[in-house]
Amino acid sequence: MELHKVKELLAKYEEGNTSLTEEKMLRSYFLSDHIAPEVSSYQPLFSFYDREGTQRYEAKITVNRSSYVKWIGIAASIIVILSLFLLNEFGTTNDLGTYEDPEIALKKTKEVLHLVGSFMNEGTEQLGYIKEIEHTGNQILK
Amino acid sequence: MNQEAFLTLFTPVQDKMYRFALRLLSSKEAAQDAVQEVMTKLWNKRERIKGYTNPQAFAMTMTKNYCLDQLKLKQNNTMRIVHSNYEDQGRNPAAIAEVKDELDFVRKIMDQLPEQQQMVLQLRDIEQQEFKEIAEVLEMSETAIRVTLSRARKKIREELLKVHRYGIA
Repeated sequence: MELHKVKELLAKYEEGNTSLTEEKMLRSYFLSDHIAPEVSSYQPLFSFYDREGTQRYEAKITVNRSSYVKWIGIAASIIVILSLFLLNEFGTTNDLGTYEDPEIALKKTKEVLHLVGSFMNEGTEQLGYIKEIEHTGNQILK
Repeated sequence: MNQEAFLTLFTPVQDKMYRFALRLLSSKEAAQDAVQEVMTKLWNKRERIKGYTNPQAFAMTMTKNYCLDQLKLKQNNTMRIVHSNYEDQGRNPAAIAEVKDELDFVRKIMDQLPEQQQMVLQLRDIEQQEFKEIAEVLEMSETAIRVTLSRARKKIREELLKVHRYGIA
């Protein structure tokens, strides 16, 4: 394209009066290697437009996303509830161990009661202080 | 309309919607969200869309409205739309300050234009659409579009000449 033609088109372009075909001519002129120095300031503009037009939407569109998410949610909660039940049923046991022989059972029970009993009177010496409190209190009241 | 028919109808316009959203929101993530949101809305309206003569233009209009709403939200809440892809940024100040090459400079100029002008430029000079289609998408008259376009082109030319004369500032 000759320079005067390019200039003419550019003037028209700036007024917003070029057709799409004319704009394509301008674009291909400025994307070519032979640009007159006089109009070379336009070159980045057209390469920019050209580059911008090549960007693609790369993500995947999911249209019925809402119902899909809803069903996933329902399925997940069912699994959670079921697994809680199943763990309760099979995961734990009520068997705490028992003695078949009554004599051993009695012996073990006594042992346990002794063990508990040995702790019964521990710490009673601390109660001595309480007596002391009562003592002084009485004096003042007299 | 089943899912397949829906996707056949709107897949061709997805890239255009994405680029449009990217122009306005200047963040890849925000633009992708915009496309996904608009698609979901379109899907919910799919029975009504059947009657439209130009569903693609309708999709573009919805994208436009969605993006402008997002921008308004952003302004009101003084909340930045979060983005991490800095190499492609226009509106964040760091990216504006650092202009790597001439093409980025064009982006900088374009980002500073009013939204209306950006939208018209995007549809005309990047997507190469007819004025009639642009008028439908932007819900403006063809004359108004020509005027906006001319202003935008002149502004860009002016800025480009400055750079050309004095080098990238």
